[in-house]
Amino acid sequence: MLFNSYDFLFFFVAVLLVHLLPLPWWLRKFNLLAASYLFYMSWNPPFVALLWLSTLIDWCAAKGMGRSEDPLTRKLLLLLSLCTNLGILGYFKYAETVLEYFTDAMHAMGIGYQAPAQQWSIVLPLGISFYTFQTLSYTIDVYRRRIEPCRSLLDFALFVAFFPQLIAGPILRAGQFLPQCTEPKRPSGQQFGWGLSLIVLGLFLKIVLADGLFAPSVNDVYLPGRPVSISDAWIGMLGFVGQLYCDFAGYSTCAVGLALCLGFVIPANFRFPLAMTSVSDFWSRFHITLSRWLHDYLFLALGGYRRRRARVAFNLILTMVLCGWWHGATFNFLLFGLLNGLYLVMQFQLRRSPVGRLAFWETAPGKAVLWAFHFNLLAWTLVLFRATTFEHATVMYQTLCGLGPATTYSYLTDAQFLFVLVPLQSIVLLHWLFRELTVEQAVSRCPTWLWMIALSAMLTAILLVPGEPAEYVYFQF
Amino acid sequence: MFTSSFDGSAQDATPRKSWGWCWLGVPILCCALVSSVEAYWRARGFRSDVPNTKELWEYWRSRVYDDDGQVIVLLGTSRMKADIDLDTVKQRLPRYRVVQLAIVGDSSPIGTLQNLAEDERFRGIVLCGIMAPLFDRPRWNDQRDFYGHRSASRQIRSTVCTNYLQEHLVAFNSRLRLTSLLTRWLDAHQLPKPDFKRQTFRRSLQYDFFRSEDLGERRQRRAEQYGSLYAQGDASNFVEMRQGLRELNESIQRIRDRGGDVVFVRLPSSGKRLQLEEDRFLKSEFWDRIRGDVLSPCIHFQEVPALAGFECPDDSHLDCRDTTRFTAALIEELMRVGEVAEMRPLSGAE
Repeated sequence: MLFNSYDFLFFFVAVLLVHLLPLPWWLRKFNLLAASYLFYMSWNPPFVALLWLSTLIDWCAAKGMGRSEDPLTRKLLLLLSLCTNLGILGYFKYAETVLEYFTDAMHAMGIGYQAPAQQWSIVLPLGISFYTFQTLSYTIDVYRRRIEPCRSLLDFALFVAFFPQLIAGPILRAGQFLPQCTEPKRPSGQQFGWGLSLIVLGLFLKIVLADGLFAPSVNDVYLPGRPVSISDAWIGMLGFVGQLYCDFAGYSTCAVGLALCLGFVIPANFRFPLAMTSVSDFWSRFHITLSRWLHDYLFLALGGYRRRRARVAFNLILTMVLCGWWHGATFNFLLFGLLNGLYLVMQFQLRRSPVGRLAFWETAPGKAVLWAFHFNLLAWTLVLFRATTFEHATVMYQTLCGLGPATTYSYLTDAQFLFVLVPLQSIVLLHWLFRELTVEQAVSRCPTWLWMIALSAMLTAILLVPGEPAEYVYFQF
Repeated sequence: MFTSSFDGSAQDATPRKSWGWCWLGVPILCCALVSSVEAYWRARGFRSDVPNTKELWEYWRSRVYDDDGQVIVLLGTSRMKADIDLDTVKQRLPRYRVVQLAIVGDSSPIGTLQNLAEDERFRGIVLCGIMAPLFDRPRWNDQRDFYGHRSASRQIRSTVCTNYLQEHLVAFNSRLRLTSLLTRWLDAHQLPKPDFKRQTFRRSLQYDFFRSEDLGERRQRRAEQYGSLYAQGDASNFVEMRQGLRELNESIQRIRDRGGDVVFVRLPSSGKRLQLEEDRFLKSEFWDRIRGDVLSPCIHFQEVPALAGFECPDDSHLDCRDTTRFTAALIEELMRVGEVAEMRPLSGAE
């Protein structure tokens, strides 16, 4: 059930109506939980069992940790949670790739091992990477005694499965969500109005910009095995920056809006990321909840910045490699993570050099230079993200440099060029204008009548633009 | 550098606005904008149009069931979609539900007919628009893309909801999508022109040839297409064709055993197209002999005076102004023939 589908519209209206009925709080929470499971089962019903398994084990493990004062018992319970969650994630997400690599390695060593890869194929349960990280954060926080174990299984199950953010985030923390479950609540008029606005904004980003304008050009350029001209390759590369942002931010914005309409506040996942002036700035604006998760549970666990430079560099690279690997079990994602790690290390070193300390970087022209450099860096790196294989990415890079298979034929029309360049420029401009603000602050500054016109225009465009509803890019992770 | 500002709580930073007024205004403004677009396209002569999707076909395919067998399923090609007016059928045979499952293109509907025959729940009457060459056994699976296709139910629901809106609003016509319009305008510096044909939600095709600017060319093109289709001598002779008819009769019998029936209809064509069709598949050589071999009644438009007088402006389809009369005449003929016993009581329902 996609947010951009009629199915979801009817589903959400039904859930909302029940949620607004004068029923006991536990019953309304149960309604949300049942709806969440139904929402998840609409893709592949059996996989809901994994969600239940993860919920039960983490709830029991956290309970045990809360009761026990014995460090060994607590550690063992944490280990149980980690092994179960990462084991499930590892099996479904990485087993097939690991087996392929193992087979290749065997062949390289001259051993004729043949994996039964053709007979079985593992289907990736939707949203597994997101809810696994969410539940892990809970058990780790309980282990670190940052939060108390949740007393109510209903509340905890709702935290794991809350449908607005179940499939592709934002990745919640127990400390953010569980306290909201204790007191009966209904959305206030302000929350409801803003929630609806966010839903419209999210759908506009997804349906009109990502699917309507960016995706057709990007899909035309990234067809594997078909040589494209240099100009097409550049448009495809830039278009994917816009598509990825609008697609994922569209989902997250809808998620925040839907939760708000139900009276729950969940964190924003984006803050004008295309106005970044450094790699770390980008990661603190794009998929914020994942960046923070990696920082808090991985980077700090590795020692963070409180080590020698070489160790910090290693920590940064390892964190970003795992970030890339989290996205998918392919060489491209691994390389994507590795490159981001290297960029962060270079930035770490440069900031400490005399060039990095120049006052020029704090001026407007300095920031413009930094933006231009980092925007290009991002666009080039995202080729790895979009290309289907490493060979495909290599061909794209060659074409972008004018070294690819020679063709001057352009598959993209003039209109497609404009469909990528005009909205991308507009988005970047808006991001620059609001770079220091949050979306809420930006809208607060806008007069009500102007926001009303903007919402009407977006809603009209949503109605008049769409083709077939397309899946969100991040659903594959 | 690489930091977390997570403070363990979720902040409600909702912008303070008069949301009541805002959300009162948004639907009004949005309706005004969509209505303006709708009025503009209607003023330019555009009509609503529903795209021909497999999902819509699947939706109607799922509606062929009726415990009393009071459902008429239309199979065939674009002629069946264009020549039969569903409202007239509904008016003349009010007890029946009519389901349009014909598929555009020179494809044989026999595969779809067999698909219905194999469906134990189907007990209705099949009106199958067909020409002699489409009885040829190798062509029976022409429409497999439709009857062999299984879309996810959510995809069908989504398409059907969209199609339902497209039936009522011109602004939702897929040719008039903002992106399509912009593409056309930027690439060719022109806006689209109204189409002379449209499909409805019930999958009827309506040809309004008064709106067609290139009727002559269209007629010529159709004749050439047809000519090339059968020019290579790939049409079977009747002896080969006959071998498949036994299998076809088994399917017809299966439908009859459940209380349904099948009627084959040769729908009108005219001009050069008719001449080509008759040259390649002489009526006496093919149609008349097929009629002798199949269990079902076969109605040829040239044999029924009330059906023979219609002119197809593009040589292949009736104009939408003629379909009401043609459909009424065809229903009369179906009842007159009387071989379709289940249709007789319908005269009482008129």
